[in-house]
Amino acid sequence: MTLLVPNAAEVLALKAFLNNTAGQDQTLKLFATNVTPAETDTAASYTEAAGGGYASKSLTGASSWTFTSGAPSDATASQQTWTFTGALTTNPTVYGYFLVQASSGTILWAEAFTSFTPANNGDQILLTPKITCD
Amino acid sequence: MFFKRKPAEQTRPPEAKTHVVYAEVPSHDFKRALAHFGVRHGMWVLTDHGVGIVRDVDIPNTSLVVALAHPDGTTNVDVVVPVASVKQATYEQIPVSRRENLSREAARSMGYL
Repeated sequence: MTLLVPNAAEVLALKAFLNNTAGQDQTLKLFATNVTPAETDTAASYTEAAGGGYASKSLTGASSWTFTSGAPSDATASQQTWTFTGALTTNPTVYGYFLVQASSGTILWAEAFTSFTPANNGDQILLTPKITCD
Repeated sequence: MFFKRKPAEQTRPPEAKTHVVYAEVPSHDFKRALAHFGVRHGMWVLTDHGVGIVRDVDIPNTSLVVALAHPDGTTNVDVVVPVASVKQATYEQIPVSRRENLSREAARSMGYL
C-alpha cells in the first residue's frame, strides 16, 4: 500500500528544507496492530513489534540513503532485514512499518504492507525503504 | 530373539518464510486523482458504512477505497464507495486513539471541524 507522510512530518520536512530545524537520523520500526496510516497520525498511533528477536533499525542520513534526481527524485535505502527467532510477544502479526526521527521520535512516514506473522526461527522480513519528491 | 527397531522419526524444523517488501510511493495518477476528487491520502472521511481513512482511489469508477476504522482506531475492512457519497469526518468522529495528540485547532486547520 502507498506510504503516507502525516501532517506532523510535513512540517518537519518544511523546517529542514528551510533551515529552521536540522534533520535527524532515523529509526525504522515495524508495527504490530492493524492500523491504516492516516494524516493525523503521530508515532504514538503505532504499536511497535516486540519479542521474537525483533529490534528496530537505525538509518543515518549520511550513509544509509542514496539520493537520485529525476521525475520524481527519490531517496532509497538499502534493503533492511529482520530475522526472527520465533513469534512476536506483542500482537503476533506485523502490518507495516514506520520511520521516526532517532532523537525526537517524531514520525516521518508510515506504510501498511501485506501482513506477515513470524512464527519460526529464521523467518524474515526484507524491506527496502524509499521515498520520492516531485 | 531380536526385534528390528523402528527407525526414529525425523522431525524437521518448520521451514523459515521470507516476506519481501518494497516501499510503495504515491504515483502521479494517484496524486492527480486525489486532487481531482478533492480528498487527501490518509484523510478521515465519513461514509455510509462508518468512519474510515482514504487508502486508495478507483479512478475509472470515481470511487475511493476507504479503510473503515473501529472505535479503537484499528482497521481491517476496506470498502469501495463513490466519491460523491463521502465527506470529511469531524474531529469527534475520528477515533480517540488516533487523535489524542492532535489539538482541535490543528484538526480544524486540516478541515476536521
